[in-house]
Amino acid sequence: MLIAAGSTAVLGALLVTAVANSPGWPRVQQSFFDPAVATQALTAVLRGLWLNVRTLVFCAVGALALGLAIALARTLRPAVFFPLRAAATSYTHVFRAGIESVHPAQRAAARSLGLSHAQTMRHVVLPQAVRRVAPPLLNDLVALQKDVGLISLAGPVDAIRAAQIETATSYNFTPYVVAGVLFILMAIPLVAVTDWVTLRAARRQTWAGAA
Amino acid sequence: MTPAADAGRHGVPPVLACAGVRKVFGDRVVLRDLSLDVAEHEVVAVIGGSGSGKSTLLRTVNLLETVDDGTIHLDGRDITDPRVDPDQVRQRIGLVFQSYNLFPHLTVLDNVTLAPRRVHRLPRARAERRAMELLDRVGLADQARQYPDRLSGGQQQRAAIARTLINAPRLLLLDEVTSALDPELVGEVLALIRELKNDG
Repeated sequence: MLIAAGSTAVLGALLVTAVANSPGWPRVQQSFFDPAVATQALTAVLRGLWLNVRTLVFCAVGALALGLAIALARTLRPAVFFPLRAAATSYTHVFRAGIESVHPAQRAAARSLGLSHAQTMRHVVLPQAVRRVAPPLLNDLVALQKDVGLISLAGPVDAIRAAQIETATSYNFTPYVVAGVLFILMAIPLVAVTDWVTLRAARRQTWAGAA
Repeated sequence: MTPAADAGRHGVPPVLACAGVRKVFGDRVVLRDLSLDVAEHEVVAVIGGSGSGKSTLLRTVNLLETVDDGTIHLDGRDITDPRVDPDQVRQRIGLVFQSYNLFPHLTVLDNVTLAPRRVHRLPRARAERRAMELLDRVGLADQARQYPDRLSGGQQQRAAIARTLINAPRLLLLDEVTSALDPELVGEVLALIRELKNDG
């Protein structure tokens, strides 16, 4: 731990000295890391970022709900439901894999107690399925979070587009760096949650394996 | 397949009456013209080699499989009639599995209370009181808050039996309930079954 911190510090210091002493650094610093331009651009970029956040939440919740609904529809056996079952999309495969990874004996046990198909899904299959697919779904969510910046291509003023506008008016690239840093900051909590969930799932598995 | 005990005749309709039951998987006939009567308080053991259709018979009686021919009557009512709601039939027939099949994400107590709370809409407190009585009877009252993977095989099977008994089934189907257990754990499960038999 101490050694790791030490070597990281040494490498960091070396990199900083190397970069700061390279020819042309003052020009780079001026064009990309200008504090004055950064503070000026911050408001506009933050306002743009709010659009990214809303897009992320809307897409994540929408995709999860739709994916789960379609995955559930696919478990319906009667032939009438074929059109529903055939309409599998994006997140569906993850949910469906989770649902199908729950052993059929679990379903038989629940049905033998008199639970209906819906009750079996709700109280026996889904709780187990969701626990299993949480880590891959969170990975998808982190990826989605990086992708929301692409919405600027469609026209609305999000963080990236706002940075572009600021850059165009100030002839300085610092706003892009500001947007990038904000995106990284936004990712940190999500990555922490993902790590925590994955770790918890792994620990559960070890318990089950040890018993 | 040989029913080891012959069905007794009590004058009342038998609890279970299978007549001419046929079950086919693909082109394999698993159950051929099977007839079996089980009277009240009667214990029937079904003996047969692996793959001879013992489990299929129990799954068919519990309507987890549909019959291809023949009828099954429970308390004089034809349960193979397509108009019969299989969920209601299954509440009256308990099935205990070879591999226990406890729900791993629920505690032992929640495993036992799932059916009364969700199917019979019993309030949690009442369901738990009944569940604790049953768990006490199978000797697991002190394990009620544990998750199934913390229990031994014999304890898990006794919990599974308690989970089935809470529905107060007319008929209890036990599918090789001791075959997955260590020899020293078989005794505790068999003792429980013997005790249940004596209580009717």
